[in-house]
Amino acid sequence: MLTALRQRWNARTQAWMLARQGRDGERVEIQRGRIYIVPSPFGLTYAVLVFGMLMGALNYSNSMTFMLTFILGALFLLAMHHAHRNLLGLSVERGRIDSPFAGQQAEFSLRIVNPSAQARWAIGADSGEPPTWFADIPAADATTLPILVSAPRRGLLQVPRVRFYTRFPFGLFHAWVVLHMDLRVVVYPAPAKDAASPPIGAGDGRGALEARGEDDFAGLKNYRGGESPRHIAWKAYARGQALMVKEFSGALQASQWFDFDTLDGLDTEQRLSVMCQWVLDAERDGLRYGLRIPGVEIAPGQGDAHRSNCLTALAMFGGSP
Amino acid sequence: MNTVAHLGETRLSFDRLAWLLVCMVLVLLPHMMRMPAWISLLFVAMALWRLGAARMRWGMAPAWARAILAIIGMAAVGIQFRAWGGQEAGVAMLVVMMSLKLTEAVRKRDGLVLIFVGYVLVVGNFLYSQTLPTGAYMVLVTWCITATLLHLTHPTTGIPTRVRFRQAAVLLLQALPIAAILFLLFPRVPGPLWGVPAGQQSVSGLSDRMEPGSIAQLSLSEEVAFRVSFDGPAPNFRNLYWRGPVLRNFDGRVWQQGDEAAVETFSYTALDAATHYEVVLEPHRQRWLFALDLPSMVPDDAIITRTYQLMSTSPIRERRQYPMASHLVYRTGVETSEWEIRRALQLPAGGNPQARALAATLRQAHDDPRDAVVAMLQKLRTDPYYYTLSPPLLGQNSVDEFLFETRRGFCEHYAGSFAFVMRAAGIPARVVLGYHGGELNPVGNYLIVRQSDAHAWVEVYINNEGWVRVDPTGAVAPDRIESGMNSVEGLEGRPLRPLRDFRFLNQMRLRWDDVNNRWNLFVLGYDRQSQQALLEKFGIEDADYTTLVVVMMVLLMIVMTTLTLWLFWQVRPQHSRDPAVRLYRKLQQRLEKRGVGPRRPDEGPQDYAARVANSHPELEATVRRFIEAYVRMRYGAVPEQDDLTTMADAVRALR
Repeated sequence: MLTALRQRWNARTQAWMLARQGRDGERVEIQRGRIYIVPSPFGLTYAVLVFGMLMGALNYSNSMTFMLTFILGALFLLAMHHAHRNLLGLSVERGRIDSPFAGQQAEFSLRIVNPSAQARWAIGADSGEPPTWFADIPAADATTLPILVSAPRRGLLQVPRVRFYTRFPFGLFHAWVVLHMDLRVVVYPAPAKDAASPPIGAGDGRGALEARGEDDFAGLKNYRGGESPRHIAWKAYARGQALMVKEFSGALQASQWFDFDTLDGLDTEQRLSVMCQWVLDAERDGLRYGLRIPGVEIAPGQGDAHRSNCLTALAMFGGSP
Repeated sequence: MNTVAHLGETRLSFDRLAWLLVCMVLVLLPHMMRMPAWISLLFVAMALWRLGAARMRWGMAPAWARAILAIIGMAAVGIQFRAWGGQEAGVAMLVVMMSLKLTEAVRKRDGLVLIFVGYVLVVGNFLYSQTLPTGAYMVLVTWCITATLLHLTHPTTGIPTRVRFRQAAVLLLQALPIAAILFLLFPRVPGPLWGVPAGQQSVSGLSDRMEPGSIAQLSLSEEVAFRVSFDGPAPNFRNLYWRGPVLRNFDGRVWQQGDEAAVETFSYTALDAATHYEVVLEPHRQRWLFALDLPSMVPDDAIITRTYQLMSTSPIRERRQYPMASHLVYRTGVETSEWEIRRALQLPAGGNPQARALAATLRQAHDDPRDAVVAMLQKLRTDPYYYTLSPPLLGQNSVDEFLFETRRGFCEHYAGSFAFVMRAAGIPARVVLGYHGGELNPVGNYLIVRQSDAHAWVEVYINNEGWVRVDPTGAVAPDRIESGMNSVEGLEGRPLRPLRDFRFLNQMRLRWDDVNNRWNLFVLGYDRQSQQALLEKFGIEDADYTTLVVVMMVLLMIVMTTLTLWLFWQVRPQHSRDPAVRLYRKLQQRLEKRGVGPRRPDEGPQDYAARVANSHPELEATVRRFIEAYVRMRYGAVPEQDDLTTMADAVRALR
């Protein structure tokens, strides 16, 4: 009952904030109008203490107690303004995002820049779910805070909002901002750890025989982005030569097809998980592989870019699960 | 440099615990001087145990052990003070509970409870002492507690010690103007809300009884009894008789006050112009208000008795300030009450035969009681009597022993014996207690009257003249009456007082007393009347609570707004002071005016220049020249001398 009420309340405030603030771009500067602030539970307790002290001061007509009470009361007011300004003027930029596998947590890096001459203390960031990471940002400096979002399913994960908050100083007030940045990431299917090896001769069988043939070193060629780092000729690089990749003789180069349709007896999600595992294994072993799922065919290839193409295709299969 | 992100921390770390303990020790030090020793020991034991537990990773005490300790602690406080409420028991209870709380303080929120207790114990100190040194010390304590609160409420690692003490100082200083407005204008309700428990500390001061040695004892105290500021010049020293309790009952050894009833009108004849002054009386827990002989008015909340004693309607527990007027030359009203005369002649049935014999001789030799008084004074003056702070102890017939054997005494000996002899001679007499003299403080132009100025004298009743003051001490030690205790040469039993005997130190002492006096008057004595007086200075007459609140709110709003704007101004974005960076920004502004799209944050100078060259070929040469100099200056190993000039020229060319 209470939870339901709270959820409805949260949904309404979130909708209100979104309508009020609009969507944010890749970089947001925190301005006055978007900082919200309420007293924290500790702040309310503190207020009760100060009120009690005031009663004592009135009762005893004790000037020094009056003074202490008023100083503590003034600190309460000041804490509100300090908490507000602790967030004011910071700017948040979207950083690197790595795709997670379903069941893991997606990690969004957000870079916070403090352009002012005042240090900012105890700035916390999260997506509305734990964990919250905190950082102190020195004057004219920047820091990166991870935002962790659980990614239970494959497909496109869109983070609706991220929250930055602070209770500095004294923890009396809770000041926060809600950012609706474009934070999305493709969540790959969860790899099926116990998947069987891909059937030899799967697909059209082409190259199946050579698939496990010995790699014959054919020579070096210049590295291009996206190629597997495991083929980089590190020794040559260390000798001061350019970044090169080892090439293997084309005839013997295995290329394997992973086919959705060969996986009988499994449902769609299981098939995608198994294929995900195959892609990871193939990439690890430095094999060339292609992908066939209904509606999509990716020609055999290799390297990080290829791997990510394949996994994205698996993740986005059928729109979303 | 990128700072590190941390996850939130709810455990009370060793560092934070140690600082909490520092705060507690600081706030408890003054309390420890008043509290029973076992409470201090309990705190020290618990603090050490907790530190050990944190260092050696002992487990926390089990819940049942803590509960038993708590019950024992509460019971012990109850037994010690026979109460759980009240000022002293309350503070003791708080300290005991705080010590026990230490045994279970493992989370940061436990630490916050201790912070609250710390602030309350600061208030506890103020209930005992509000002097300037206490105030200064408590500022230090509050600073430490506030810095520790900052440390505790930081979600992760905490704030470096120096930084948080600086921040706490900044916050406290910013709080000061707000607190000052609240202090000055927050409506003060007179009187206690639920009653002030009487403290049990002893205070020195006159009592309503006098026996040999009681005033000499009091004379050793340098405590201030009251301070007086005169409207005009201070009267002659010898006339400064501060009238206190009048003692009429004598039981052979002790003089005591009788019952005193208020009178509506009191009669006297003034023989000089009135002296107007204001008295600030230190609390002495009795009802007397002191005034120069003879008071001619009754302050608020006070009465006057037949014997011209001013008495407050309730015991004086707080510093009290009252205006007074007196006539120093006067004639009291002629006694109309036969009963009053009889009481002034009352003597115990027997005892002190020698003194009675002396009285009989006096009576026979002098028809006029005035002559008898003079003769008795003459005897004290000529016979070998000594004025001393350490008189010998007296036995059963104290008057005889003093007058005829020891001959050494302080003012109570002289006053008591004198009154005895007068009564025995049939002259109505009574003893008046009070103070004589005082020390004029030239720094603040006021008079300090101390317990060491305590004095006793005699009033005799002369027909048709009324009550006449006779000071037998003046016959023995004229210096005492002419210029005070300090001028009595070779006074026995007086302790050494370097603060008075060295000129420089004496000056410092008087200056310090003046500061304290102002503190008492303007800070501690600040009340409803002071608020009204303050507003009157700004043209607001008869301010009621509503006016106070309105003025307070307006001022608060002004101060808060100013403060807030200043706080926001402090966090404005900083522009680099590097002239190259400034010129680069200027270049961009000028190019933007010419239609070049703003430089993206990730766009380096070379890329930017290339883009400009692409879209605005006519500007290429200028921009290239600038960028080359800029890159050389910012990133190059050897900048050239005139790079800045080149850049400035390029920017100028774009105007």
